[in-house]
Amino acid sequence: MNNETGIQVDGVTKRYGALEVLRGVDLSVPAGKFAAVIGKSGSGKSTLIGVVSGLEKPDSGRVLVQGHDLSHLDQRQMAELRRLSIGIVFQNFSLIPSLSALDNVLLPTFFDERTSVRERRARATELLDQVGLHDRMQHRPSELSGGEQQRVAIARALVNGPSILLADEPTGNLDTETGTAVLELLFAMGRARATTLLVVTHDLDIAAKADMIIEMKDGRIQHANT
Amino acid sequence: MITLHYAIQELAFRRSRSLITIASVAVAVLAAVLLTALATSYGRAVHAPVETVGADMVVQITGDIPPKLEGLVFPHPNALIPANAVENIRGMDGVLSVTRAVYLWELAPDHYQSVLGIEDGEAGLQSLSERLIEGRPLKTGDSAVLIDSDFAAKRSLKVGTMLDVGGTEFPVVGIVDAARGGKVVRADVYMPIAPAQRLATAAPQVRALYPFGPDDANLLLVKVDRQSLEGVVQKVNALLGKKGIVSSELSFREALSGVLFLSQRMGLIVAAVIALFAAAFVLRATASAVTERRRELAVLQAIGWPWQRIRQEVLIENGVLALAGVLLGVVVAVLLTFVLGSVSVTIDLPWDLSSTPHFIPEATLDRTQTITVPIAIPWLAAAAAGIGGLVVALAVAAMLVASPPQQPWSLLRSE
Ligand SMILES: Nc1ncnc2c1ncn2[C@@H]1O[C@H](COP(=O)(O)OP(=O)(O)O)[C@@H](O)[C@H]1O
Ligand SMILES: [Mg+2]
Repeated sequence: MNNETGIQVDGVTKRYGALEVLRGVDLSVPAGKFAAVIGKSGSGKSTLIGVVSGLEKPDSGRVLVQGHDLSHLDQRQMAELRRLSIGIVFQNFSLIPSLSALDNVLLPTFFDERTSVRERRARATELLDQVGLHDRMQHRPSELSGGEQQRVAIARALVNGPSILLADEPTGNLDTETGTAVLELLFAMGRARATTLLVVTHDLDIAAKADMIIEMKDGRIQHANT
Repeated sequence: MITLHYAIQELAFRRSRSLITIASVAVAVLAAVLLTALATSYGRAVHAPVETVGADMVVQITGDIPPKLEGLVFPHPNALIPANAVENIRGMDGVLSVTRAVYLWELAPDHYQSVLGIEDGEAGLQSLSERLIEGRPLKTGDSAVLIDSDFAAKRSLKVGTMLDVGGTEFPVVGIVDAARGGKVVRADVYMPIAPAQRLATAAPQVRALYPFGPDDANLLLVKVDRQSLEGVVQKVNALLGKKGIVSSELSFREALSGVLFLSQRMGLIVAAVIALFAAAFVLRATASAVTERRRELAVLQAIGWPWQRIRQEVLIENGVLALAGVLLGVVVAVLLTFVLGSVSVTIDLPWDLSSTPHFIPEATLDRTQTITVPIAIPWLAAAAAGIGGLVVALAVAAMLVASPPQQPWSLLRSE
């Protein structure tokens, strides 16, 4: 299992108009490993996450997640892969404002035919418990602090037990202390589940705990040390 | 079920936006239903005067004034209608039946009575028997009369008494209700057409003006397919020329300029314009609701909702809103029609349709007829408006979420 490749990116390019944002990115993260992506603003980190999540199409090159070439999947298969195998945490939390913390965590399980509603609720409740929000489940996002919202987002990303977790500056909107706590949580929970982690971060303390550090510069990988 | 739960949460969360959408759908439906209800009621009201005689169209020809106003005369608007004209009308497309009649005034020094001899048929003797309050109906071969209840009271006549008409005695076999008869083509005395034709043929003041034969008529009650009414009226007008008098709901409608805009065609136009505005309103409300949520829909995509489910979610939300709007619109329409109750129309009958000679002082003047028609919800129109509202709202929503955004990531990334 650990020899398998969790994420593989081969020669991916992406341009927005005249701007070449990714200029041939090659990357391989073994399953279960933690890769931290660092680099200056504008270097293409978010675009890389977008491409790996399948929410952004590369102009050339290919992306494999759990061995699946994303360009070979249709919309429905792509959605299924994202739902079951890829968890995403955003910088701006991206919770649904009308729904409670619990319902937000349940969202990715709506069409889960394998498990009963009760099981799903149990799973979501347990995750919220683990991220320290057992007494906040019925709160709406607007009633939660930034750190709490991001914890809900982490629980949501993990609810279907994905093999890959993507995070794009998950602490960017949090103060340092809260941010570190959230990152520690993300890291710990990912590790506990043997999830492949691809996390964009500026926090060098956390990056130091990563299995590999990927430094991006001008749309290329400057450094990848393992 | 879980998506419905989400939909409800979402709608409750965006309460004001939801209420705006519901209100615009409701206004559209309300306007359409109410306007159709009013237009239908006014339409029925203007149809009522001729409908009470069982016809859709009354045809007459303006005649001359007899040399002497005595004995049996043809009223001024009731000249002989040539037999070939009758046949011509009978053959027109859209004409369902033609009932011939002979209308006479009997002018005596001490009294006056109007006499209508009429053929059998739906617009003829049959329509009389529906109004019978005493006695028995008339049959074609009878040499007997029915009398109007007001006339019976005024002249103290009863069923069984004999009545003199143009020098011939007729037994009164029944009394018809004056109130229900309306004021159009109303007479004091009704009889089958044959004896009336005999009386007319023998009357000197008729003979002085017209070559009236024993099988002629001076008044036609025509039943017309409602769809063809306008065309038939035009054709009959063309046939009879300037002297022809064709009365139908169209002529009453013309007289009612105040409610003209509610006539069926104008009602349709007004309803269409309102529906258009409302549709634009619904479109805007739905469009901005969906646009506002583009980022949220991208989040759903990011966490693995298939686009088809996202679309379903949006459609459920908008369907719930539209349904609420439709129900609200119909309920308010029902309440409003209940409050309004009925429409009243006062129609000034043209003197040529009035049953009394304008020169008789005692019988003059009140030629107006007030018709009150309850406003009823035209359920077919209400259903159409409701389904229309639903369809517009759902179509707009479906259009907006027809296909997934090409670059959901650009909606999700933060700069
Ligand atoms: N949708 C877009 N259209 C045009 N330019 C974009 C778009 N998304 C990103 N960019 C540009 O691409 C460059 C790389 O962006 P990004 O991947 O977000 O870098 P990072 O996350 O490393 O800051 C930036 O200059 C950004 O302005
Ligand atoms: Mg970025």
